[in-house]
Amino acid sequence: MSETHPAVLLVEDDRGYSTLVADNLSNRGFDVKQAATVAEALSAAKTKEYDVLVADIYLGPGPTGLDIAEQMAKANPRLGVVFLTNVKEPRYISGASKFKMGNASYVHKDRLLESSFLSTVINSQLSYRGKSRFRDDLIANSRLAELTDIQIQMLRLMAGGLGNPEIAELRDTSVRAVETMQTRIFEALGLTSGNRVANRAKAISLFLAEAGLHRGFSLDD
Amino acid sequence: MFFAYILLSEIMRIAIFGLSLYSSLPDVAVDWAWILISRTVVYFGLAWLLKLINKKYLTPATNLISAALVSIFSLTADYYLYPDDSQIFKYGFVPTVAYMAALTVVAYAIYAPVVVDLRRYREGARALQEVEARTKASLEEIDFKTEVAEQIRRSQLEAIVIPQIQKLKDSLGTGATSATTSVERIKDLIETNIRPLSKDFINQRAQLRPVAITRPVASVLGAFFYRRPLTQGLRPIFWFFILSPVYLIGDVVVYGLKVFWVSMLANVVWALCLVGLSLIIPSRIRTSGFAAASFAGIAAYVLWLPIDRQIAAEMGNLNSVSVVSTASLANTFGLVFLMALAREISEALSDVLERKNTQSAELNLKIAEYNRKEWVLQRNWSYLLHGNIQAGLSVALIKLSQLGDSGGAKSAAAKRQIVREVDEILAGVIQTLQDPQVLDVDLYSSLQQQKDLWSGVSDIKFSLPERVEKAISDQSEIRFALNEMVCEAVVNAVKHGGAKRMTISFDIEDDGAILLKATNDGKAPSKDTVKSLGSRLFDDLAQRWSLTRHGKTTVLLAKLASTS
Repeated sequence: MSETHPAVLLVEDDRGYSTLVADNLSNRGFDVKQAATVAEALSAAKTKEYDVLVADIYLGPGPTGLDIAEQMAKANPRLGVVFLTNVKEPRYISGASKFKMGNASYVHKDRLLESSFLSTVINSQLSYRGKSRFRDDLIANSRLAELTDIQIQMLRLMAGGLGNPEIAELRDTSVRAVETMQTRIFEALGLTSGNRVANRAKAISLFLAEAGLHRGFSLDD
Repeated sequence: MFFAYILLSEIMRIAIFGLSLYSSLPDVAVDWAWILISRTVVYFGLAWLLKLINKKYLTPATNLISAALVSIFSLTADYYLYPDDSQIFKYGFVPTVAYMAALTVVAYAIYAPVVVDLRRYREGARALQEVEARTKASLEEIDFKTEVAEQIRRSQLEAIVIPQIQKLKDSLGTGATSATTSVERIKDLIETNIRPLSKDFINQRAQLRPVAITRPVASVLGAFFYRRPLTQGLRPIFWFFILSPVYLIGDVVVYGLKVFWVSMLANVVWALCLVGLSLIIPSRIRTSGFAAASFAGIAAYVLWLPIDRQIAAEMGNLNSVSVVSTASLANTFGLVFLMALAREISEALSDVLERKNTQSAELNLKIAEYNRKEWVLQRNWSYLLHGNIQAGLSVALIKLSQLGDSGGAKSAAAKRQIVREVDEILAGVIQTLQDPQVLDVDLYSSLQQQKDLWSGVSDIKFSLPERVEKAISDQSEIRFALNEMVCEAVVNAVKHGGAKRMTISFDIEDDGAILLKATNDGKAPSKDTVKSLGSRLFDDLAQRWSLTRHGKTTVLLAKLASTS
């Protein structure tokens, strides 16, 4: 790591946003390399060892920022990772992800309204290797935040278009057990209309909105 | 419907029954009543009973047994009803059995094709219902998906974009007039006409309707006018060769050799009429089996009239002329009518089914394409929303926040510059919202990206032939869909299957469809993999797909209908 100019690989598919962030970081003394695609990121990682990866999660069709982080972290265990995303919680989009957050930071894009915030996060990554203090995904700012991982998984399956019999078969349980779990989810989300179909539609809509997904998404989005 | 056919064929015989009563010939009336009852009840009743026992309906064997029983039943009834007048048994056992056998053949010849046609009709009607049910279910599924897509659009916009717009609005100070206008325009756009599925696409749904086809059930009478070459319909010569000898033998046995030549002449003329009239009758009429047969029947009847008069004289009741004459006419008309009707309805149904199946296959292809397009548009919308749109709004918001950061230190010109930049960004967002283009995927680069990403974990080899690249070069939607499927296949194989080696290849099938084949040496796909959300992706994107295990290799095959 350069003492004066830490190397940052910024992976962001929106050029405008990427330029804004790069300018911000450059002005604060970071050596920033921009990459708009997974290919560009991997190519850059082969030619230079970076201190910190700042990556968006959604990068258009194909692998995500989580995939890049996983691969780069294998080659460079000291790599600091900052996810800069609009997705409120990674578990919404990758319920079965093998990537462990570890000491990675998770920052919502809106936080860049404070111009020095991102540099603070990156500096904390460079100086401290324990669990990150900057974990927006752990802040209960979502109606889904109180749900357990299993309940989130259930919502993912419902939002994926699976019917209760299919979910029951997939989870190796009974349809009745699936319905009971769904009732608990509806209660946790404050959906008390009494109409199961309406509650189900609202819960799916809420989940998709929070996760920024669409119906029919892949299990490994 | 089953007995309606029988009823149609027997209408004229029922008329004879009534006419017999009217003509003071109760014996004849009773005789005809027995014929009606025996034929309908015994023949079809037995067939029905055999169906219950054997679960098979009207096989050739059961037809023959039924026909034999009808003959025995009719003759037995005749014997017990008219022991003194019965002309049959006085000739002895052998002629009686011979005549019974002849009647059996006749009954079999008459009814077997009819019931076979009826069976075909019933099977066809069931198949038609299944096709219609499948079509209905597919269209309902599409409507459901479209509705869900709309719900998602609203919820995503409300949760993601609208709060951003609100923040932007709050950040805009006085003087940022153009940016304020842009924000208002975005808001209006969202509230009025932004759809993840374009209007053109929604209009395509309207075209996914099965073509209405008149059911054969509703066109029983229409079969009257259903035209078909005679040789494919009635086959009159066939009936002549079966029926004429029986009639001839019957006449001779009952009335003696004196009627032989007249009967023979009548039968020959009947045959000539059947064949000859079909040549001289105008083709418009001739092509209807019913019409041709009826004309033949009338001509034959004229020749049979002398025989009928002779019979009437022997019976000592001239009223019987009209009855027996009508009976002769009915034998021709009723039989021919039933055969022609059943045959033509059955063939009409076959035609309808064929058309329906063809249309159903075309509709299924369209539905597969529609599903793929809908999925791609939704996925694309998701990418755009989280990419260009949201990022654009975030950038605009951050830039506007810089106006306040400097605490008024920025010059008016610098502030105008920021507002101008924000305005440009918002114009770009508006453009994306108004016309969300499907993201252009470079499939080759994407495959290379997958290979690079997983290098060291899994050795991925891919083959993208030039002809495939050329075929999909102008189909961004297909490239998008193929890329999504490849990503899913790779993730499943590498992440879940722990595959060390993987091959991905593409090909073009004869019908122009693109075939994706992905093999890997990972773990066998579990039930979870096969039935996971990923399978939904393949269900929606592929026309057909399969995931199978061959030895230690997992093979994924997916076929995508090409729209080119």
